Amino acid sequence: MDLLHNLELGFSVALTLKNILYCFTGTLIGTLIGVLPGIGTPTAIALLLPFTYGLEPTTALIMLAGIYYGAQYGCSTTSILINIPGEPSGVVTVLDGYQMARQGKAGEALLTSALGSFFAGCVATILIAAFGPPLANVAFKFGPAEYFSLMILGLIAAVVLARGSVIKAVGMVILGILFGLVGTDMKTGTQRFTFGWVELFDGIDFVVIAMGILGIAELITNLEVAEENRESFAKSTKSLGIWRLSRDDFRRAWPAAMRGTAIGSGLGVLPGGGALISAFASYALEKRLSKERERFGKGAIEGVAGPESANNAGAQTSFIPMLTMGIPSNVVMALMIGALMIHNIQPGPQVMSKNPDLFWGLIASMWVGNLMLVVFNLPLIGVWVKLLTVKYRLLGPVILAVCSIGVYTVSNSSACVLLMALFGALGYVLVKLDFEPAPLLLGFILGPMLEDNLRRAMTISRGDPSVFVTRPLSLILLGIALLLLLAMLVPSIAKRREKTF
Amino acid sequence: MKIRDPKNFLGGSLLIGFGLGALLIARTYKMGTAFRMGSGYFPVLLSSLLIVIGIIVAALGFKSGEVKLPKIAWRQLIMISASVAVFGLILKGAGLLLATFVMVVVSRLARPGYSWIETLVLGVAISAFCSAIFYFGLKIQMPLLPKWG
Repeated sequence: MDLLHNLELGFSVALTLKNILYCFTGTLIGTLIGVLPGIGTPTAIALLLPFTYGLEPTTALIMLAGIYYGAQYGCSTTSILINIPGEPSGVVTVLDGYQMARQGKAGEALLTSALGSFFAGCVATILIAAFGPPLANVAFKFGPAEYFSLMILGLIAAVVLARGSVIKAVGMVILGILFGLVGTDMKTGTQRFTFGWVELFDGIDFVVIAMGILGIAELITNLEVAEENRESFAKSTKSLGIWRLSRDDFRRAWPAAMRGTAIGSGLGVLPGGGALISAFASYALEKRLSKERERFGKGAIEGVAGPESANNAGAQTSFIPMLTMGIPSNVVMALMIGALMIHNIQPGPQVMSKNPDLFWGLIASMWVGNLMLVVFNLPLIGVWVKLLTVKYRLLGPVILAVCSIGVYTVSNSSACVLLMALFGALGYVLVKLDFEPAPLLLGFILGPMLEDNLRRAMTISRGDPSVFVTRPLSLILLGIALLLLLAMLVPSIAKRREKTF
Repeated sequence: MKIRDPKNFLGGSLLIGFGLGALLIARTYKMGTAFRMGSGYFPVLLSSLLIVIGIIVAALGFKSGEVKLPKIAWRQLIMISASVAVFGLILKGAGLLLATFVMVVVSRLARPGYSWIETLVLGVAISAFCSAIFYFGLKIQMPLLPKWG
């Protein structure tokens, strides 16, 4: 049994005292940094990278991986508590997680997120051990045309998850893509939409736009209502104690977590936004499957369980392309490759055969790290929820200060802070006009990749757009996207008919 | 024709505005062909699409339904944005402690009737807290104290 043998080797590496200790340190630091809005995972890893130079490569990687999913978890915490996602995937968690917190169910939301992530982590670990090598080959089948279609699918999923009008959500996606294009065009070197502003040459950072359009805008909205009249987060929140899900919550959450895990494990293998799209896809799926669709966006627990599981499963399987092909699926993975190179390990198919202890040790440590996350975050949930009982007139300025300093650290420039102020104002106006911010953010993240893959696909096909429908995988992806869109439009058309006839 | 849903009308106009602005700028970039796309191809495509969608959304504003224009909380909007902007502008010169303090004070102007003593205490506390985490804890490169004086 290869699988058992591999896992055994992995756990024998991961469960040495030293590795457990570093895994714990990593996840702890990751969580703490993750809850500071603005200090994202890349910053956290970059800050701590020098400390890992002296360690053995396996230990170093285990610690970095710990920071990675620790920060992912910390980011879910801020998404749920204060409507600020520190990572792109948190954009989905915000939708229902923050609404749950507003209804006094912050503890349940955090618990769902922790348990969903842990469950997904367990499944993903076994999946990687069993199918890691063949899964890696899937990514090879993905050419530019397939990636373009996958991103279209992701964007359509973002439209599906919007609460209000479909056409407005499409508008938000496109506006988001346009914001994503700001900066230097990678292919031609042209400065686009930078207005000659040097700080914009590298584009707008995700943290700047996300904190502005979600965080600052929410802050303004919250201050609009007088403290006495404001619905209190804490009003119905249970006091400190053991957190448990009601039977009803559990019944809703577990199937969502299972489906989310499946989606995340599949899409996570694809480098470039796979894990992120899986969170959006999972949300869209849960919303479609649900009999009470109107609950989504108003604190549906499935909307937290599904995407959080998908995201965590995706985050773990995204180690496969990194380790076996040396393809980083995001900035964090790129930094990890850097860490490997420092130790003279060349990522590639040979990692598995040449450094089996590193490969399997890392995978086993992911499971250990996830377990640790659950164990030390369960008591922390009480502390986080307690934070919400602080009066907003005191808490508001703290959030504001931490966000602004965090954004400043993104590139050590005031330009980011000013941009965040602008996006905050824009976000507030958009909410007032019934536009959803989530599609805009996904468009923003996928925009540059969308353009890049469109260009490459068209260059390979010599300018023939039929390439997207003649390649079977691409056709399937586009077909699913079209079905999603139709399924969404049909009920609203049918309803209108009922009204007119 | 009467505007029945100002939210849609204004929202559509906003999209049209963004689309037009982006289109005008993107027109100056090289278009290229579908085979070899220039830097302008994709932006021109997108901004045109955005204008079309903006027109549809704005047109929905003339359709049935009576929706009132939402009230914009100007004071909160301006004060919060201003507090962030001021922080960004003065941070390099004034240092972390003072810039954070000023930001807290300005942001507290967003609502009338807050006690001044509470504002001052809060300002001092938050500046100290943030310096402890970011400057001393995470050792992030930024000035702590004002350069002048």
